[in-house]
Amino acid sequence: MKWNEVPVTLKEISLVVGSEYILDNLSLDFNPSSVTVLMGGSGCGKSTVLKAAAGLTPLSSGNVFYGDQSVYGLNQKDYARMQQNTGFMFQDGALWANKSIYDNLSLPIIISDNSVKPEQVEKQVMEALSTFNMEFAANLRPAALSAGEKKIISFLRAIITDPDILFLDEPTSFIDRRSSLTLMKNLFRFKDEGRTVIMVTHDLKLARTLGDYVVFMHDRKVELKGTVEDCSRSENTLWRTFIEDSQSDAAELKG
Amino acid sequence: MIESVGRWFREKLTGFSYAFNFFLFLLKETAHFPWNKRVGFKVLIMQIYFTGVEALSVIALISLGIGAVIIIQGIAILPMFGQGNLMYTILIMVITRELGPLLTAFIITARSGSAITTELGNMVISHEIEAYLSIGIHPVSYLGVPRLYGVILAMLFLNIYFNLFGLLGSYLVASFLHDIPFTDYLMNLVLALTPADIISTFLKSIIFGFIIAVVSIYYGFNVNRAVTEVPQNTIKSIGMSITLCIIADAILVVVTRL
Repeated sequence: MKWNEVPVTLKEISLVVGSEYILDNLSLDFNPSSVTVLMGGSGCGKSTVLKAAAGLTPLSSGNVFYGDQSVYGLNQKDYARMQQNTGFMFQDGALWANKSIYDNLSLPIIISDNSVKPEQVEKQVMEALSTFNMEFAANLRPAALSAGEKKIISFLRAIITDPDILFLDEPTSFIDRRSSLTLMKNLFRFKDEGRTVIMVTHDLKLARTLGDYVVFMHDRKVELKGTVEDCSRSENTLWRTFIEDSQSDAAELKG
Repeated sequence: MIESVGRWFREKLTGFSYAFNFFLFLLKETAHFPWNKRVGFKVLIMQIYFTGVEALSVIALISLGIGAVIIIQGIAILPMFGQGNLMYTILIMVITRELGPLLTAFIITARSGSAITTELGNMVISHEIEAYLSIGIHPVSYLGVPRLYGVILAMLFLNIYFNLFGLLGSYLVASFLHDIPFTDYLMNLVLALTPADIISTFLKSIIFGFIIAVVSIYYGFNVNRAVTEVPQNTIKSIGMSITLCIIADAILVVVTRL
């Protein structure tokens, strides 16, 4: 089964830390072979939902399904195989600080294919770096890179094994325009190939250009969900306020 | 009052259950490691290097000092009671059976145990652990198990170094002060050494190494969200490792003397 052919379903998930509910009984579907954009104000729970959908956050209750396969009910081996078919780009990069950039990119390849030859790994890693003109970084440690460069490496690490499902947490933040365009080109390729992409972003332009569906969250709940066209026509007050705030901020900055 | 006691009890029970499950999982992965070593092998080598090789100078200094003190004091005091030959038994008893494994464990706890907890804790905070999960690597298998093997092996090697420096190196120190023929010294040492001493010292090394590694790894992964948890967990890990090593030592002494 290819994971991009089945929906990603969050069923009544809750996450409690101490006595605080980070997520409370939230249910949500992500359509297969499409790009869904998670939007909302800071602290509304978007990144937590993204991590839960990727099977990276231990939940207090509820479950996540890829098709009818329970993600949190998988045994260790199947869970690992599932993760090798998904890619996750972290908000802060989350690069392995004690490894070189080369090792950061080669480890997912080695893990997903035990028999891969070192020359093949090198070719794949250097090709990936060259798409962003970052071959110079191969032997550097993450600490030597800027925040934007770290995000690019995190993006490359997420896509280097050509996953069926791609989770992106604010992919274009900190990244310069040229790199942002390269990143979007890659995302268009994923979209054209029918992969499932779920991303958190505050970038309205990215959402409009790339997104098929929008999920708008407010106060850790799903406030609005629909196609980009439906949402653009929605009169939901919170959503309209969010859009207007985002647009006026951009206008203020330009003015 | 009853509610808070109940909550406290529930939290303790949950914590204990988590620790127990973590321990079982670590044991299972430890058993699988030799067949699954491709990516964890480098971590193992680095751990042995950091724990075993880089601690050599500290171990050498401490064992030399202790060995020399025992020899100097023994030569000065024991003949006064007509028990000069007991010096070698005392040397074996103190260095090989007791202080060797225990002091090595304390040094490893302070150097490597704390480093393991801090490193893993920081990796949790910086989401590096989640990044491992996201590519299909279980962090306990990849980061925890090689460290466990590394600490146990390093503990064994360092204990051997401790014995070598404590028993032989200290002779050099003592020979500046007293005229002791080396062959006599060596022969007496070998005669005083029993198989039980060797088994005891190796057994203690393995058990102490296991305790330090499991405790340090557990407290490292047990960091949740805040950076401030890292030093707190490191302190807890050091305290718990030392306490458990002393308890294990007491039990082993009783068991091996029965």
